[in-house]
Amino acid sequence: MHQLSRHISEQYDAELEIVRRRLMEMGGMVEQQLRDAIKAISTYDAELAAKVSARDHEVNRFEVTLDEQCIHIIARRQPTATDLRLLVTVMKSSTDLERIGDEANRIAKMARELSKLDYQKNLYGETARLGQLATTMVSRALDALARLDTKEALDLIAADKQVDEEYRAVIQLLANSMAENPDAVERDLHLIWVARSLERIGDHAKNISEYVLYLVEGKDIRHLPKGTFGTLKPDNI
Amino acid sequence: MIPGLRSELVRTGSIIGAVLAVGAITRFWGASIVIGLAFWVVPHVREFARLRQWSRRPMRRPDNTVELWQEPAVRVFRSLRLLRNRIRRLTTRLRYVRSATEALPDGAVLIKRNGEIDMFNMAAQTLLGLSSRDVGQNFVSLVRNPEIAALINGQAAEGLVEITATHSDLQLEVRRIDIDETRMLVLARDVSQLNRLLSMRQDFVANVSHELRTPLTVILGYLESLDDESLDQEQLRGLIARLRSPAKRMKVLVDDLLLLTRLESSPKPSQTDVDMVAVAPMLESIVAEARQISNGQHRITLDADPKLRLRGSEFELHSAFSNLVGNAIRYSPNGGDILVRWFETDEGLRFEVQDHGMGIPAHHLTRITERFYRVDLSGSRARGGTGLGLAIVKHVLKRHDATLGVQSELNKGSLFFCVFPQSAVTAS
Repeated sequence: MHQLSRHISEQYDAELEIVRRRLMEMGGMVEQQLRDAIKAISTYDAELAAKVSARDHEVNRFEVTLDEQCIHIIARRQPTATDLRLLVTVMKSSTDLERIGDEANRIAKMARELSKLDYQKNLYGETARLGQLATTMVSRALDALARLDTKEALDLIAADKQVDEEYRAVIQLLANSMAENPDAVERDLHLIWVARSLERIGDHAKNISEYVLYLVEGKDIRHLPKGTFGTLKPDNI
Repeated sequence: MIPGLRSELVRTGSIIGAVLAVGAITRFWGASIVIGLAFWVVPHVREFARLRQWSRRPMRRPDNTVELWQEPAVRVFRSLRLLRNRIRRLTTRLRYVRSATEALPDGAVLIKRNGEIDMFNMAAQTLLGLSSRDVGQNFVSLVRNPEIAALINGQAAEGLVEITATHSDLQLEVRRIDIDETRMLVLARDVSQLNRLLSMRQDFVANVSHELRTPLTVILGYLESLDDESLDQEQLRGLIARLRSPAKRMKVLVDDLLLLTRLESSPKPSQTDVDMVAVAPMLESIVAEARQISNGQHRITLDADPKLRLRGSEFELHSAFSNLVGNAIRYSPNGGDILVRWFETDEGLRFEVQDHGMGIPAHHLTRITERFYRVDLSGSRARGGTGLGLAIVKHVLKRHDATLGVQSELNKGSLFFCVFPQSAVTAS
């Protein structure tokens, strides 16, 4: 009898571990998509951009199957406490990852548009830096999730501000460029979309770090008024 | 015979004797037996207490004095001490092996069958972005590369994948080696340098072929015209004269290639092989040649200290210096002053060429000594450069322990200078 119950619990543990691993796998795929999309922008590589778009549905499928698996576990095991929080975290994170994938797809689309244009390509550097920042955010958020590293997650929530600042700077730059150089407006409009997507990606990465805190601490720190998260709290939550 | 048994028997015998004697004399049998037993048992109790005390910290020598007790205790103590020494030796050995794996430039990660990280070395931290607390974490979740996931899950075809690292932008070759049923070893090697070399070699071959093809096409074109039988002597001669220039260009290119190959592959000239080169007369002949090429377009001034000689290969130095002077003419299309100087400074001897030509944009400066690197491709070929000149200069200077420096401003001109350290130098 004892043997049997232990066996079931082991099976349960394995199921939880599998969804967690699948989530990280999905994260890896999304990271790759994002990196490729940014690379396609800065190297005018329409082919790579097309590849990113083609892989987008794989990311979407990933989210659907992951959700199914989670719901399956909830229905069969009726999890509580940490187990339940893990499943909620996996489901929510996969939604954010899927959105990041969508943004990567949008960036890839813009890369294809941009590769058709023949303007001077001097503003890509700034956008590429924003892209670098956003990619690092996503990587660090997934690392924090894999290591259940709350400190890193808190740092990241603060770091999102940096992405927002960089975003504003890029938008300002593009606005200036459009005023000075009306010929390149089409390119600049595309680049604004790219910057917008990158800023959204930073927000999704921030969401994922908030789930890490929820998973480890059991506290939901979203939408809290300033100063309520005790000493752990950075000022921008 | 058990050591200490004899003395114990003797003691027991004498106690029995004493008990019998005292009992027979006093007739108090009971009391004398009790006293005798007490005499017999007290040392053993004392020894037992000592043994017990010792067993708490058995690495010290047992302080038993009775041999019967001492002997087994000392045996245990000795084998314990042997064990301890062996453990110490193994620990040192283990530390030794560990430090060797730590020093490996390749990242090594030991992974359990369930995907957990068992241990890894320093290089794995930097190459794969692991942190020191990651033992016990799931490897694939941390590295998060779809190809690595396939490798670990056994779906990769060759047990080997090449990826771009997430954390460092390096090209990594990742290999999976199964150790036994329970563990596998993942090795990550940085192959970015290798790939760069490979693409450099491909570029080189492509460049050489391209450079040779252009004059060859020209030659083939003229050869076709030569085939026409209706040509008279005059026209024939004109065509042959036109064949000369592309053929000459091919020869210059091949000469440069051969020189470069020799510079790269041959060992540095040994001390006995080198001459004391009189630089000033050499520069005079180079400048005279340059004036001919320039055809009065440039004002070339030479300011060379005739006392300064240089230890080195005359042929190599000649080709380096004439390349630099030639470049100055080539890249000053509108004429202007060119100043060639050879003089002594605190750092050593210095050769410099100053022109007032087109200059080099700053972001090209780090790459101009690469073979076939061109700042302005179409322009430079028309000027007759092979694209190898500065590569030759760089190699010659390297073989003379000298350094090449450039200061350049766009549309103002460039200053190329070579500094030969004091050790390569003797003033006569």
